[in-house]
Amino acid sequence: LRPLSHYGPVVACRFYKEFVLASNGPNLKIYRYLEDELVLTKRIFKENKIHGIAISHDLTRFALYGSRSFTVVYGEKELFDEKFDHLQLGVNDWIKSMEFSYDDKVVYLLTAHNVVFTVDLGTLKIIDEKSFKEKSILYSGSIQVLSQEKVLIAAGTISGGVFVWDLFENKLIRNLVGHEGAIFDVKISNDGNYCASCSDDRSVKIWDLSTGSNLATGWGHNSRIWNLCWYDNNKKIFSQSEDCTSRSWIYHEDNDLLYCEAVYETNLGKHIWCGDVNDDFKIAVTGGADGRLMLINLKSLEPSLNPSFQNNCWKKQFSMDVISELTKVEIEKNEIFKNYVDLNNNSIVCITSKGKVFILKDNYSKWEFLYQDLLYDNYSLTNYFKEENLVTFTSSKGTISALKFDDNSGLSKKVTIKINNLKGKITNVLTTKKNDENFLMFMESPNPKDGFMLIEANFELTTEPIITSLGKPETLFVLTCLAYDITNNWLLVGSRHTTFVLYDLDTGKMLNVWKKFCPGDTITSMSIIDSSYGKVILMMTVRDGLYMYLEIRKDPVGNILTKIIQNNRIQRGFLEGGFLNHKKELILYGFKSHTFFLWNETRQFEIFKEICGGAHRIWNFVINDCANDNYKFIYNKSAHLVIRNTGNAIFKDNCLDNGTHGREIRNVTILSNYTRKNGGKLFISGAEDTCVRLSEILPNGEVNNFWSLRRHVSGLQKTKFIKSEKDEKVFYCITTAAREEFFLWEIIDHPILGPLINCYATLEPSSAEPDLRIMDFDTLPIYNSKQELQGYLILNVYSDSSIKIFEFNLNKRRFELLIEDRYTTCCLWDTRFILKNGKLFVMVGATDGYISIWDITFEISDIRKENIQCLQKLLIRQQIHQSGIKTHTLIQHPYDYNILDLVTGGDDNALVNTRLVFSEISNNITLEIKSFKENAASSTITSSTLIPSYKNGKYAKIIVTSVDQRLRVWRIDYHLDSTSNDGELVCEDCAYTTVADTGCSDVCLIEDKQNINSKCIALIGGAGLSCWEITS
Amino acid sequence: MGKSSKDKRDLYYRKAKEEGWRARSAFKLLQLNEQFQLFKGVRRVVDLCAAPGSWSQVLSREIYQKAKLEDTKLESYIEPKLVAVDLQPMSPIEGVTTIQADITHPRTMNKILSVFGGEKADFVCSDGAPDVTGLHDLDEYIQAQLILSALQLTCCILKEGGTFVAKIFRGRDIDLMYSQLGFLFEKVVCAKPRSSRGTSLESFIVCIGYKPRLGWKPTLELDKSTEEFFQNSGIGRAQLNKNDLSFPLEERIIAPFIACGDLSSYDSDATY
Ligand SMILES: C[S@@+](CC[C@H](N)C(=O)[O-])C[C@H]1O[C@@H](n2cnc3c(N)ncnc32)[C@H](O)[C@@H]1O
Repeated sequence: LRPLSHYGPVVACRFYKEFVLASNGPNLKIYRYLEDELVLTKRIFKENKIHGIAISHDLTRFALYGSRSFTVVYGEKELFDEKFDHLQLGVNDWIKSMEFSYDDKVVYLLTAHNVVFTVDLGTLKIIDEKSFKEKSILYSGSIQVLSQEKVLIAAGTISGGVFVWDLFENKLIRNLVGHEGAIFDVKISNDGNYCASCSDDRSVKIWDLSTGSNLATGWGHNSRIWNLCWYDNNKKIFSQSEDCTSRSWIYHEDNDLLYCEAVYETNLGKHIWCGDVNDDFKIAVTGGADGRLMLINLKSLEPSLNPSFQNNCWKKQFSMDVISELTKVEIEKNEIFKNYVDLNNNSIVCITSKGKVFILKDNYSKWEFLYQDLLYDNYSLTNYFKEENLVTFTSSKGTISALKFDDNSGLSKKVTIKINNLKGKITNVLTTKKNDENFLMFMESPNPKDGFMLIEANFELTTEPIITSLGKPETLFVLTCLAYDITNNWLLVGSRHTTFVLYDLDTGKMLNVWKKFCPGDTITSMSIIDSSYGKVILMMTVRDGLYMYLEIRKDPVGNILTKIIQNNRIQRGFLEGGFLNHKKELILYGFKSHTFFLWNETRQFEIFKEICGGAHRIWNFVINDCANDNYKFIYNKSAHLVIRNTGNAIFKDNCLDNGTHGREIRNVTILSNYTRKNGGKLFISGAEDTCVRLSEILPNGEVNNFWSLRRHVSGLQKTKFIKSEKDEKVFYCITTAAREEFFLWEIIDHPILGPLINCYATLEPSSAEPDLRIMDFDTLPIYNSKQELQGYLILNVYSDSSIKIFEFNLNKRRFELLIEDRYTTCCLWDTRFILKNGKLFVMVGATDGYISIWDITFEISDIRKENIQCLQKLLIRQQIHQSGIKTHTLIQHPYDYNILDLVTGGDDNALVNTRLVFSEISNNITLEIKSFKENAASSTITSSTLIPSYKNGKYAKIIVTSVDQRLRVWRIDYHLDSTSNDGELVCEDCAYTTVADTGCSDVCLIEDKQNINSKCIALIGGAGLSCWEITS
Repeated sequence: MGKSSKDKRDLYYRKAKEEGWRARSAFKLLQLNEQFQLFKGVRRVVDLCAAPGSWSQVLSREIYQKAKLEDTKLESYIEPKLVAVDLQPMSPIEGVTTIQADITHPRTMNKILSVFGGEKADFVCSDGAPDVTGLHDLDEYIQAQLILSALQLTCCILKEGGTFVAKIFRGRDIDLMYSQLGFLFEKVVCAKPRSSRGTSLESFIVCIGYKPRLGWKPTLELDKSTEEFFQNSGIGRAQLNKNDLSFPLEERIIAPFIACGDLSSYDSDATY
């Protein structure tokens, strides 16, 4: 077993020069943060995690510590030397904190029992030991080195508040009481005047050390707070919490308030464990349980402080009065901006409710009044093309003013277009680019006698526009968005009620109408993300948070076929739109209560947000330059026009490490029989955070995530790819969870868009308020006489001891219950179909340690009766483990077709090989325990997987995981003659994994291009994900 | 840890309500007793981390109430003594002295010892569990510290041959704990009552037959941590050597596992 990679909780991070040092289990990772470059990963401790990093004052030495281990690194050379073997040092207690002395000659080490050891950096011996009276256990503690003579220790207890004591005088300075519950972090400011603490009670408190009084208390975090750091000359505090936010707090001395300035949602799931601030640049880094390392620009609130660092980041606000004053144009009492658009010449054009048109030009510095047109009094619809510097205003009567601006923001052309013979009023106009020369306008009047108006004009406004009428669908239609496909000359028009229409602009004909296509209300955006002749892939967002990729195809006879190939939802409020960025990552935007957000859906982080007051206002989102994450958001807020320009991102990427699930991974499954172009394998993981993730694993152990699916609402139980021979490009996977959630997913690997996943079918729960957990399942493909895949037999076992077998029809996407029965009253853990000699058996393993096998050949046969069957022929019921059977692996005996070895692992630490011998004539099965390893692990065995490379041979091998954080490879020997040790279990290898709560595994063969030979890779999941190579 | 936090209203929960137990945990102690006859001949007990008090209820019923039926004039009669300790307050239980205190604090140990007035206890149990943080290694460490505190008291108060039972979470270092307990007891078993969920890592160490370490006199001192208390006990805990901080390896042993409680009894993982 050889470790390849590890993704898991980041519990320590520090800035150091142009680097970020971060822990990842026992590994240290060093990043060059501005360039988004991982410089190196190296193992520091054999087993313990790195919980803290200390750097000497002269920046030449580093102390790394965690649990009872620590090491000292002398100089950058050692630090950056990947091969350097660091000393494994330790004390007999948990190390809470380490700091270098003022002269960097010794290092202080604070233990969880409030003892400080002074370790000489030359001899690495303890030269002094100090403690202050109270030795009850600490949840937190820190050391503040103020001078050569003064070192303060802050100790956070479970129930006694904070003790601050002087190391050299060995005396108590303060006992700070006021928090309720355990203190999870405590830090003394580096001037020694203040102390900050946080606790179980979700508050941050700051204390005056000269008086011991509590100066202020900050409330805001929704959960426990784990980490604090002082910055900005001890004026501000940066905090990290279980609620997965970081906050920045400022202390207002005049009114004794600890005010929360900003909330940063950087990590996923639960817990941000650590954070650090670079005070010079006002940037921060945070690490969480999701293994993600994120950079934050703390200055984004006050960009004026350091304009050089983030170029072009600004926020401007103008009231109507100010604009009136600047332009000397009178503004009426209730006059407001109806709309504003951002042009490429660095100007913004606005129209008021009185038809006045203004321009903000000269790099958004100068207001100018252009003209007033009373046609647009009280009603105007605005559209624009940023790149072409073109703006159109449309009146309710169908008069369009098209304005073309030059590069200096001068109005270079103004053309009026009139729509004649309108019966109703124009209620909406949408525009889209047709090609480099022309654009399309699409107009709606609610009068049924008016068709939709389509206007084609050129950007230069030099030719006469062409106006045509398009038929309206016979359904309630309220225009909301447009998409044009140049390849097919198709126009897609979206509406409320998730209704949309496809027009062929060659013929002007309506090709299809989709009425109430999916749940939800308004389709907020549509865009074509891929197209070829007769086919487009449309991305669609629905306001409620749903988004999908839709394949729309015209078959040779002209039928329009639709297929959802990707669908998911976001949990962040209302979705207004989305696009693919330059890296083909999906970016979504919308509103969440009072804020506008821009969210990278592919990589699951927020790009920027603006507290604007909410969606009920006029707003405009502008992409300035998406490769540099440069955007603009313009909105009305309390009679002001607010322009927020993000400027270029200061970091190449603010996510240094993507990490994995935000909570414990419960199951992983690798799509082993398909290899991606880059040599990677797709895999699916399901976790306690209720997310299902589709990712790939590369031969070097690197993991890339594609999608995080939020269909489950409870923690995942099982995920498995199921056999599909229908089409070698389409794969199926099933995921199950509590609340009887059972989803069947369809996965394709699209040549341009990459892997896509869609929930293909859902098994309805048996009651309206399901509380059962589907513990395990198995499937068996069903073929018709032509050997085509028709569907699957699906076997589910539940937490209430029930066993159900369904037939799933792939085309109808329907499940039919065939067999329903119950084992006893105890929870079932494990199940399996066994097909032998033309007979079908069902095996289950339960919490009582029993294995049971039924013959269901008759019940499942074609002549089966109409009604739902029971399990009738119980062949085996045998106790194998003392308590729950958690996992099993079935192994075909290489020399005897009628023998299957069943290796089971249990809660009782045992691994057992039970031999099942199937009779060829009768349906009898005999059972014999071949090998019983009572102490196969020191804790619950949670998973076992057959290692494929050894499938056929004189032996089989399996990999077994257990909660004691060990991976073991077991070999089962086979012999031609039934000698006594045929089927014996032998432990071949055992390795420690840093993934705690080790709970699942899967194995696959992967082709290593450099190595020609394929290698065998294991993925291990739990509180993190690790990848191992199983060498032979 | 694990999924234990999801307290589904299971059968044991309902049964506890019916039978008047303050918590479903009562069944864990009852099932452990079924297997190991823990209460046989036991009169003096310390119940650590006892709130809300269902174990104390069991102890009161099985020891105090039964003793009440005995003839107090008999020479063999021993006055029962039950002491329950927890951070949380506990409403009174007949025959049980309750103390509200932190068991990791040395002062608490003194309080308990003074209640016993120099006499030894027959049985010490601890069902303690800290509030988990989610950092698995830290949580395991804190849990181990709770057990160590309980063990510290045990070393001071348990009679030779007495029994110690404590809740454990079988994580990565549980085999270190097994090994160290092996120095102090005749027999160390890891027991899992059926009323404890299979989905949780919880189980119980049952340590039978206390054998005080030869040449080690356990003494409680207010200014000593639990770590320092065990410093010379010779139970295989890593000793601090100030002149050599190279990481010491400690011995690991796997304790035998026993599932207890009737197989036909309810399954705590099941949902109905
Ligand atoms: C699972 S409950 C015990 C249930 C109890 N055995 C019963 O049957 O009712 C765990 C208890 O451990 C207590 N506890 C945790 N840490 C403690 C400490 N340091 N000192 C005392 N009690 C503690 C908690 O307050 C909690 O009441």
